[in-house]
Amino acid sequence: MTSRPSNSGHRDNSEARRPIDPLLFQRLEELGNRRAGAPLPPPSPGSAKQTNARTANAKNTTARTAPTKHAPNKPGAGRGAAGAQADKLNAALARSAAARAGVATGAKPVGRRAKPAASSKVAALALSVATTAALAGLFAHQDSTTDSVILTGGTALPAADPTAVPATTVPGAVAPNTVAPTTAAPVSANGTIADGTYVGGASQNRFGTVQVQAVYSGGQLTDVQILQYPDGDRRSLQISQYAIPKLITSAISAQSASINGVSGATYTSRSYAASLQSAIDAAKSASGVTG
Amino acid sequence: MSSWWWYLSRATGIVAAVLAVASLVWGLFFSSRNTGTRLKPNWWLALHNWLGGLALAFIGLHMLVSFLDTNRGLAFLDLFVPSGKVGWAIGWGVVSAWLFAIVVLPSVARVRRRLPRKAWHVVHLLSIPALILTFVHAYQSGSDSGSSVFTKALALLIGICMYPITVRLIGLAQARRRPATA
Repeated sequence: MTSRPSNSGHRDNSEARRPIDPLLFQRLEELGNRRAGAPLPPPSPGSAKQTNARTANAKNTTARTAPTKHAPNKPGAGRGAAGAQADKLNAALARSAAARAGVATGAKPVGRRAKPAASSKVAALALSVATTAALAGLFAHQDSTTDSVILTGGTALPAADPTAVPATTVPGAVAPNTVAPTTAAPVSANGTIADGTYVGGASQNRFGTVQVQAVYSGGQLTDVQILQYPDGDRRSLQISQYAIPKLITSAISAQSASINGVSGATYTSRSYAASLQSAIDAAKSASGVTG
Repeated sequence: MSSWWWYLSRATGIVAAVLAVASLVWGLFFSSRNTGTRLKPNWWLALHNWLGGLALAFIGLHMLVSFLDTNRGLAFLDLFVPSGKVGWAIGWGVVSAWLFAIVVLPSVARVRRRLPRKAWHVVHLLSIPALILTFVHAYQSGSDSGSSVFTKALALLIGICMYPITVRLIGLAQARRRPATA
């Protein structure tokens, strides 16, 4: 039966080793101070080198003493391993202190750690801007080449003799407006637009056709009636029902076709304004009003 | 020039939606630890944060350009207050913009540190309803929603979102089941 060494015996051994590495014990004391709440002093300038050297030394010691690992009873057998452990602890302490000192002085990580995905971020930004520009250009190109707003001759005339000009399909072509006055011939009195109803050209867009007629009374635009509007599908119908009353109100209060469009009904608004403008132009020319 | 505001408004809206989807996808892959081995998780997180911020910036740009487009007749208040006055098609976009701002701004590191993690997480989950409202806004008010290309692109974006959401939900379900079986 082997007797275990007493605690006092261990203490004696530690005290015996103290002169070997005084810095270790200094660091351990600092650790104790830190646990007790006292601030840790910053590391000395050469501490990192010392720590590395000690760690390397500890590794060598561990390597040398490795065969004795399984024979702890031999004299000095646990010394190398214990020393390496203590050195590791010391190195960790030094790293922690250095990190603390680094934070305190405002030092930041550098390289990839500091700015991860930097090139990807730049690429995402550049791609977004380029896509926006490309899409805007594409929309402009589509608008200039396709049927954004095409005015053609009126088709559904509610009043008088329809003298509609056959619709033309040439993009951008504006056919002569059809004038359908309620009276046989509008007579302009004192330079104002004669009372009557004037039909504007049909304005086509990708969702359908918009055509309006302007009603003048007392020289004032008193009503705008819708002859055609996009109703090809349920959504177009909803948009038309929502937007057209607003457009009519805007036109009557503005007494012109220069009105703000309705959000969510941009195409309908543009076609409405185009058709109304042609109706107003027709009314002016029929009444002999210029300007 | 007013036509150019209109084109830019449409373009920025589309790009903002794509960026928001990308940010969501990046975030979900990161949170479900499905980031692979080639790229480090901090790369995914950094790019997720960046894409979220960029999406919010483009949303702001979209709002500004829409306001500058005089053909639309949007008042300044209409950009921030959702109402039926300008139509709910626009209103959903306003709500969505607010939700994105609520999601992105507290994720700024300084603010996030002060928030409890659970509260931040709940706020962060608002990005999913925000994205749904974005799609509704795009479909209802978008000038291009009539075109088949736009509709297909919208369907593709929704599909792209659904994949990581499903992966994340499956991961959560597995994580909940694990302690019970252990």
